[in-house]
Amino acid sequence: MPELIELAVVGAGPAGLAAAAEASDLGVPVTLIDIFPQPGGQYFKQTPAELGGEPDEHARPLFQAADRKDVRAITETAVWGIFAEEDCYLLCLYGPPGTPRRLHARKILLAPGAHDLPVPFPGWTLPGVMTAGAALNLVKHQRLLPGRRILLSGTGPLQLILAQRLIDAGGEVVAVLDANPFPWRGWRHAPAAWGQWERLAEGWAAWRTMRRARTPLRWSHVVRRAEGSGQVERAVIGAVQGDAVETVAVDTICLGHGFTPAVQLARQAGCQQRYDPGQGVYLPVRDEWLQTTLPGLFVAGDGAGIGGKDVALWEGRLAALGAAGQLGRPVAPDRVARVQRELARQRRFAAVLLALFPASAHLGDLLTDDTVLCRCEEITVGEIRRVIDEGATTLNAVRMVTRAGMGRCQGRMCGGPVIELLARALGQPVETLGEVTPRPPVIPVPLDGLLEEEL
Amino acid sequence: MSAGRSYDAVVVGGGLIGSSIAYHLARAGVRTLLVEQGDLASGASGANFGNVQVEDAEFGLSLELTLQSHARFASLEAELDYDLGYRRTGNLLLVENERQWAIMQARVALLQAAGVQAALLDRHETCSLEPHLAPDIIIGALYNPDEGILDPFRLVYAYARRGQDLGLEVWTHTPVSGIQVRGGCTVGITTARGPVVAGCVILAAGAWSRELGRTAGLELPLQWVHGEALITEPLPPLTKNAMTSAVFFEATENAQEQVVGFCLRQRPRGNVMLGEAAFVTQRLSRRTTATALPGIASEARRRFPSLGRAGIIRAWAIPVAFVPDRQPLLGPVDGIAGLLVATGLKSTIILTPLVGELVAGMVMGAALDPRLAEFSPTRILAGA
Amino acid sequence: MTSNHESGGRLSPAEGRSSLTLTIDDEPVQAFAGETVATVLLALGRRAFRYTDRFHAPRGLFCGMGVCFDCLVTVDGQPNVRACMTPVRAGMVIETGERVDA
Repeated sequence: MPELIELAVVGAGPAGLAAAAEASDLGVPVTLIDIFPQPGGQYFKQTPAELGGEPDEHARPLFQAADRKDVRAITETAVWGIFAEEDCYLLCLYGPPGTPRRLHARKILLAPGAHDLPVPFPGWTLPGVMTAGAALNLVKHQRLLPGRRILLSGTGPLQLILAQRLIDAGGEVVAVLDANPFPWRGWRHAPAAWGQWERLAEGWAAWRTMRRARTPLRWSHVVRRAEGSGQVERAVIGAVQGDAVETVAVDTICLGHGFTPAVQLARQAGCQQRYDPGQGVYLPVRDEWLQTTLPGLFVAGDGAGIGGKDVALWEGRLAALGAAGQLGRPVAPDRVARVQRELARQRRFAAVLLALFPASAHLGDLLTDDTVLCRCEEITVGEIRRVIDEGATTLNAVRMVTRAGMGRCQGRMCGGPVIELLARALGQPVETLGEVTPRPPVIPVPLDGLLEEEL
Repeated sequence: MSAGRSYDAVVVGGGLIGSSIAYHLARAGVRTLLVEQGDLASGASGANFGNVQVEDAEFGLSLELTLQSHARFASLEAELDYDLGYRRTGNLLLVENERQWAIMQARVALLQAAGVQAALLDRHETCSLEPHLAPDIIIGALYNPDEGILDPFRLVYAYARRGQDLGLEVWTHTPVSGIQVRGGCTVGITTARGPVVAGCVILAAGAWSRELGRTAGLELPLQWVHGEALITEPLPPLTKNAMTSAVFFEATENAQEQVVGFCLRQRPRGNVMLGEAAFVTQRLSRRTTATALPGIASEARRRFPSLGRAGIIRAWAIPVAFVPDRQPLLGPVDGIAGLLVATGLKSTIILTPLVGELVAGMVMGAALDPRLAEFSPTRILAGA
Repeated sequence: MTSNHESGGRLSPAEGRSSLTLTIDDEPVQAFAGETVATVLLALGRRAFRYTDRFHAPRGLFCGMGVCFDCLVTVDGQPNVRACMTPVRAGMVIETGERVDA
């Protein structure tokens, strides 16, 4: 019989850590499960101690939460499936030897986070083309410069932070391209930025580093094509709309177009979803406690919609209060009010960033027929277009016939681009094209790993 | 949408059987509409492993019929002008206990007498053919080197496309709400796109045939098996033959609780399909159960330990229609002129071309093939 | 601008790191505890970790967080292991596409 626990928190990033601390403050023992060896997720990723890492000052109290004696941390472990049973949930886990394979939990708080939004273009599969997240991880936590001549293409202030890191590490950042126009209307959102001094200061410092290094920031620009033999050697850059291009020699391209929520586990569990046009993705429907349509199953943080680390922290706290309340713990209304207030404040700021730096609608123009859209199965844009011409009208039909999305990444990289391609080709909004419900395992698991007991 | 569209025949169900019937009707010049509630092959046909094997005919359909249909596959790609991914890679029916061994001895004699190249192999011979197979569990296998595999999606799409070239109309994403019967005759169907007038309605909707049959006053004795399978990441070539354990047929017979039989097939791309967990169900569902995954994993790794570290990337589940006496329902319904049923074949591929042709023949007034008499729906609907 | 990286892109300081040896495509390679296999390959200037089945195209690090499954190498005989998610250990035997897929 699997062990029965009160609260499982899946994901030890800001949302999960904050949730664990909040729940444990109320006397709820927490099992905190994460895929990485150390807590922190992406936002608070820790540099390995062996490489000189020291915990981020901000994150320190959160890491201390993970160390509490009533927080049991299960690391290097994936939750690959969730099944609703009569009065609890079954979680299926896979981790190193000694890790439990199954758990029963009365309540689940999912905090799975997000990953970099994949934006395909011709040549994007060449080695040397990587996500901004990958580059940041290398320079910050692996102490490695990802390349010598680096181009950043994407949108938003995080690109400036990455540029600063790369420049400080001795890399040459040939340019930072932002696919959006200069945020002229930014000043209107000034009230939402009130109190975000640290974030603004970070951005300002990054900007100054770029100025000193003479790294240009070019608005409404994007990398249109990556070229090279064996790895990227050149980037063809141009305006998002327009024909004029120039070619620059680079050895690395970092794509920073924002993030996309990791919704697979919530969907597999059976939460009802609703299409969010602002985020361009289906998100779990949640009540005021961030509970989904599955009773006792909550989702907090980027995994329920991109909001950034501060939104994640406060959502984690709110959902934990909801779960603790359901578990019969005394939840103080003052605390709830405070958490809601802080959350609302952070959401306002996050909404500004999303409004100023949306995923550009024109990036689909970059695709050529020979662009590989499904990286895993190597299905090209041309093949997908042909299948659409032949009558495929749903995401499911495209997947089944072309096998796009049927590879190891389970559609994480190509799912969004395929559905956008379909929407453009049919002239229909994305929400009419159907969904694909992820099945377990939501992350590849070895055959032996599916067994209820280790061999 | 204009109401009252009129056809000679409407086929309900865009899977293997429905698309084959529709194609054969179009080929014969019959004005035909194929209606499918979702995407083509979105039911059991799409969940199919794609084995073209004589032993997949899990019921007493005559060997003669099965072999006649099998012979079609040699020229099917040319006939449909479509790459079906059809390859004759061979098939092994694994024998794992003495009772099965005795059954297979009789079976191989029958097959050989009918001119099939089947052979009964011992353990050593079986494991020489498939070096990754764990020898301890195997007594031997019924081997047919001539049997093959194809991509079931491609077959359904090929029938639909080729049919369209010949005048077939295809509606997908069009749920059918009822079969219209008046004065003992079918007059058409009602769909999400409005009513369709047709002198002949062919019900080939797999698991969904039961509800649709009710709209015509028929209580079709169809039950559902909830079948589940897994697939691995692409792997280097591990097996050549498609494989099923003979236990599979025994196990899934009357599975009230979930049982797991073993079947395996490596696709050309390298992914290995593993199955199957099944139980009789009262619900139409596509949800993978928590127990199917470890169940299938356990059966698979007993026979193929080297698959233990292979990454499982996907699972799927589908309701499959079957008839309790394990015979399909093929043919006209007494008392309702113009209505034909073609379902309960448990998603077997090998019969698809012939069933399509024979049912199309029935529509066009051909005399009922006596070999199909035992599958007449009337045999079961005695009270209808 | 002072360049503060050592050869191969590693950032100083190297003091305090403990080095270990592993094998990449039959060659002994020095790495540091805490690094991932991906880091070590990149530090060697090896960008292409494998070649794809269909177009025999080079692939390397893309997402860096274990979701894209591009950075696959063979580790201690186990194929299809994500290099970015695998911390190095002394004596590890790594085979890349140069050895396996070429």
